[in-house]
Amino acid sequence: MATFTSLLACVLVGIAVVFQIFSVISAPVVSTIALCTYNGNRFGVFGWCNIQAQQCTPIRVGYELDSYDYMILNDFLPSNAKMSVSKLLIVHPISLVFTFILWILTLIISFHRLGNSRKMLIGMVLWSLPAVLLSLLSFLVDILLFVPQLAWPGWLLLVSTILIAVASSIICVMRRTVSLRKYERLRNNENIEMYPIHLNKDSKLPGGASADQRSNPKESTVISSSHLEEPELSYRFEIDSRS
Amino acid sequence: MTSWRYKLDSQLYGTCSGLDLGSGVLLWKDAQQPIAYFDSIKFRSYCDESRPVYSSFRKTENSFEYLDEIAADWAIFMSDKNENGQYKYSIYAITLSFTANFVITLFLTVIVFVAIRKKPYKGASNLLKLGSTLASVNLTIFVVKALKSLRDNHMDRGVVSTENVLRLLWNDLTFTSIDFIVVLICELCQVQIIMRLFSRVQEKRMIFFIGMLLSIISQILWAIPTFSQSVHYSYMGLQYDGEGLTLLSPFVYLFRISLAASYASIICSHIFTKRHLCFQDKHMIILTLVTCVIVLLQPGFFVADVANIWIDDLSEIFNTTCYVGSTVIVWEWVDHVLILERKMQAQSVLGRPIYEDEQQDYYFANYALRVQEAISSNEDDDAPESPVQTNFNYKKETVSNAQNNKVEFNEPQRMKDVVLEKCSNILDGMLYFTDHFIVKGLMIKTLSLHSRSSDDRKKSKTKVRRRIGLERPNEVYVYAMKDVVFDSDEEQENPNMETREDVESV
Repeated sequence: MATFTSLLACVLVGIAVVFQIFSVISAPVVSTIALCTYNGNRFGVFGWCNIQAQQCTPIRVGYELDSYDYMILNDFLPSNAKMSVSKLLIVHPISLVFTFILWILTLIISFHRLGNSRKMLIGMVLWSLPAVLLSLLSFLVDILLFVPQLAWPGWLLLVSTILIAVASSIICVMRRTVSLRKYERLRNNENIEMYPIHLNKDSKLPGGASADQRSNPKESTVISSSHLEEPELSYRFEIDSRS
Repeated sequence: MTSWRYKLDSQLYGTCSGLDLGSGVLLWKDAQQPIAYFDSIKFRSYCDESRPVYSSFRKTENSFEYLDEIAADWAIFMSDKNENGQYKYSIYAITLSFTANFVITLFLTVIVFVAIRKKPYKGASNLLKLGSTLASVNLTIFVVKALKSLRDNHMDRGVVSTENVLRLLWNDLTFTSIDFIVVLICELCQVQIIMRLFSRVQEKRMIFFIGMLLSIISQILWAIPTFSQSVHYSYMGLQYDGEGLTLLSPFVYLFRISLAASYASIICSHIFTKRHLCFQDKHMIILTLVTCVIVLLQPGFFVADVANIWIDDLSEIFNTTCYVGSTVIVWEWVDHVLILERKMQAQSVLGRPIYEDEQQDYYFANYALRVQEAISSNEDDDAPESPVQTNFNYKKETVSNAQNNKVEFNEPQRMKDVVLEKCSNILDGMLYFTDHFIVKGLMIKTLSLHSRSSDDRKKSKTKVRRRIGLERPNEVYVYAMKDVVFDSDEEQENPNMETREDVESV
């Protein structure tokens, strides 16, 4: 069943997915959402729209200008970066795919018994790592291209990165908890009894207890405590220090 | 150079293309004809990289004033719109930057050799020493080369150009090659630092694999455009796909920033979680603050770089210093934090926490078995075998019998099985490497408390030897045990009560 931590991770990654969708559907997909508005143009991941002409470029990777007018080229982007760097905006959809899959996985661990699988949780932690890195990379690309005119969908990516990082930490903690729980269950099943070390010399069995004691550990502890002797090592130390 | 950051230089200076001065008389040092009249005189100022060059020599009262056109060009060159004319882009600022970086790196190298303890992470500390030494050597070579280049320029052309120094920084094969190794070593040491911060074996393993992978990927991606450019610059005849690599450079740049930001966030989160140790005394507070600043320096430089292209020009030198700093200082910080933590654990009732990961892989059980084997091998052959040993032998015998009874056919294995077997062998090999050389060795070593000096170590060793009786191995003690009955008030109530007590040695 869903635990609070798994649900929290699921919610955090879900919010991160929504935030990343905003940047991916920016102009020209949805002309009103833009990563940056500069010189009468609205820039998005797959192209840009001119506000005055109300025209958008076709959806493609990277920005391309039809006319290579030097003045337009020089003042097209708000940053110093070249136009070809805009091809790096492709990391946005890749990041979205990684985060979306992570969200699906968090849903699975929330509502399925796979949430108690250590391998599954380790896999998720490993998967969350590229998700965090790609999300951070998307934000950095936006910063590089559009600073100082970066709009809110760009800043949401920073929030998204933090949310995925927190979710990743939660999953890591969940893995620890599940691992500990399984270990404790395993030890309970084995029913291992702890016997004092000094009983070894009287016992004939490898565990340090006799057969009767093994069959009934509670009783055996009571019985064996009556034969307790003080450890020899303490005598030696006493004598040694005196001498 | 990071050409992906530059726009085309639109500024054209009139004095560089040539000024039409009209007709006039010219004086020169020709002995035959020192004076001549010309109808049309064209003047072209001395330019470097299409930018006018101005004298920075001492100006006296007898010096001539600049022509109006030259003065106007100077005003354009110095204007805010021009990104190359401001003081911060001049040779003075660049010289100051690379010499300061050189001094800082040298200082950090001295710290590594003086302050960083060799044990318990012998391999990693040696790696750190190698990395910082290489960084110092690299920057020394660079400073010498840069100063020589500046001197040559001054002597030959009367110009002190920033372009030559920056070109040296980006295209010098020696600098690039050593820098590649230095950054890789620093990244590996950073992986080691993060591993030290986590206590569980499985997490250490994961960090090791992922960290190694990311470090190698980042360095390979960085090497492709950088070495292509350097080789193209050194051997002009070779083909160079500049446009294709333009996209890779910013990607690698951002990838490195992402890794640095992740590293910074891990360190900062640990500072937060272990704040009671980090802010324990004045010394630790200063060290923690320096650590915090140094790990945030590289992401901070990115922000500064985005706002200001000047940083980008010198990013390689800043990078080297940042990497060495964020490894050496953080290593020292981790050392201090772990020592404090272990001291606290030693003073507490429960001691060092043992995680289920360690139990799952039977680290302690294996250790106990090894001790058992070592003890039993020292015993006489006549001595009866211990039950544990018998069990062990029985298991071995069973396995060998099972192997003997197996009927083997020369059937070809299925491809799927072969691939799976190979994959599992590779995985086992990697795990073996990690456990034996990286994790397990360190784990066992970290179980013991660190001591600061060799004197302390000797003292504790002597103490332990005395405690376990190794100091006087030839002295034999004979013990006798007897029951001593105390006369007390209780005895009257319970006359059968007996108390044991030790007796003196003989």
